[in-house]
Amino acid sequence: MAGETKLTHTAAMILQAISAGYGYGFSVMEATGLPSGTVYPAMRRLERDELISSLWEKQSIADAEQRPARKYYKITRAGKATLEASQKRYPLLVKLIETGK
Amino acid sequence: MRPFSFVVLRFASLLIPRSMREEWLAEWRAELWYVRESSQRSPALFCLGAIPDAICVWRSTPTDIKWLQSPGACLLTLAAVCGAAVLLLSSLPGGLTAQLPSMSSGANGLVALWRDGRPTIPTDVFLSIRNSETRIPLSSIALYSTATQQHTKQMGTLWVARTTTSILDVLRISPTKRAPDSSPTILLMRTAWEKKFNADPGIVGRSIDIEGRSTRVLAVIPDRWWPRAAEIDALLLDDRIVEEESRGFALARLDTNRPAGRLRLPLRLIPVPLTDRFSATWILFLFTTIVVCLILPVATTLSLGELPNYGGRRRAYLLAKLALIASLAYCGSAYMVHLRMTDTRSSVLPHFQIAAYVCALRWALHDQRRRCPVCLHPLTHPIAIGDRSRIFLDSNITELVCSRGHGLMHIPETPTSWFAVQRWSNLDASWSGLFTR
Repeated sequence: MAGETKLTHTAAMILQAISAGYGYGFSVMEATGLPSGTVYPAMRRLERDELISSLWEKQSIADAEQRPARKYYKITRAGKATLEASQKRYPLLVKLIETGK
Repeated sequence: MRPFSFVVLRFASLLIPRSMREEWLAEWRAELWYVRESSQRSPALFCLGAIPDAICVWRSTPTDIKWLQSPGACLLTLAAVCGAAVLLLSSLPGGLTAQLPSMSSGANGLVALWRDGRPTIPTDVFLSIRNSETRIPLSSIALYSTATQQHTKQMGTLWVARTTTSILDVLRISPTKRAPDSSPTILLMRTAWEKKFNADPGIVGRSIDIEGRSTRVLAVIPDRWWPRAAEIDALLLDDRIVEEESRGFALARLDTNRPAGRLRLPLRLIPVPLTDRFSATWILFLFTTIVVCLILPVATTLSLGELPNYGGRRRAYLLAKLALIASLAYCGSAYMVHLRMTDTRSSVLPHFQIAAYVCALRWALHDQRRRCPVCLHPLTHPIAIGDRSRIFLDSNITELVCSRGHGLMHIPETPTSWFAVQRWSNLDASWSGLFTR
């Protein structure tokens, strides 16, 4: 079912960025060049459709580095299937997003 | 966190259900911290993205915040906004009372005195009234003459009428700056102040040269306070008018605490047809409403003819919404009148008011369209139906369902000759098994 989900080009770019290792909202913004008002709502929808999942990092790690804890996103199995379908639909998608950290 | 970011995030977070709010805020605050650290993007612009995000979360939230869309909550919210607008008006100086309608035109208390069918009275009659020798219940009375053209050094000619100093009591004017010496004083009409003195804000208290005499400006008074404003630029306060003139125009204020005696004809008290704040507000409100009604058919694709359909309850709900929006528009008009009368000029606010009025009515109509005629709750699960190639590459019909199982609404997105207004299909009790509360 998830593999049949058709994504818009923007949503596919964001999914590609998350798949490429850009794990949080700001890094997705940096990778895609999209504004926050587009990226975060799109990520909510992707999470709602179970194409990505989120996890808060441990507070102790953030405290050790003296920064706030952040929410990381990763692609799910259904997300990978959808992304493969999107890559066929948008062949330049992989070239648009470089691999992240 | 800087104030702008704090306000935007807090404001946007109000849309987030309480159970999710802290986490949502924590994520945005954390991201904001990293944005600041990177210093490549503007934190303020970044924060603005929180608003569409909050709207997205709000729209996808199943039930706990949807109570806002219930008809009662919708009307209560509108009523609360109206209440806030009334409170704002009442906080203005003389605001609320000035907007309330008078019971009659004479209730504002200003009357012109006529005798023998003429708008003037002899000076001796004026004196006898002023000295309370008559039974006319007046608290104050002033006499003024016809305006004459007088030359000023700075502004060319002015039409100046002489009047007794009691005019200040009649018009209830309290000058902020009284003349420190015995130099003559004038009251400037607002129109003259705007046209001939370029609305100089420092005019009050300053002296201007009229016919070679230094004359101090005591106050600028709105034209609407004056029945003969078109002919007068300024009122020169001069009590010698009583001795020098045989007749004059009389303006008086009724004393509402004294019983009215029977007047001896041919003296008549004629209520001054002042355009007070209430009338000005009412006229502005009507004008705005007419303009908005003309704009509205262009601003929405809805067929307005379909709105009264489907039941008295739905109609009453629509009327209640429209009444509350009209009340808000009236408050807006009152505020505009207040700004106009307190020397504040703004060319943006009236446009903003009209735009807001159109948006509010547009919302009311769109909201109405997607309400169940039975329970008035929003219809859900829109489905596009129709052949896209036939009607301008768009589906012609949107079908919505009442989540409580009352029925289906078919809405034509583009009115056609065969399907112009929305249609409602009732679902009977046999369908109830398909719907869960």
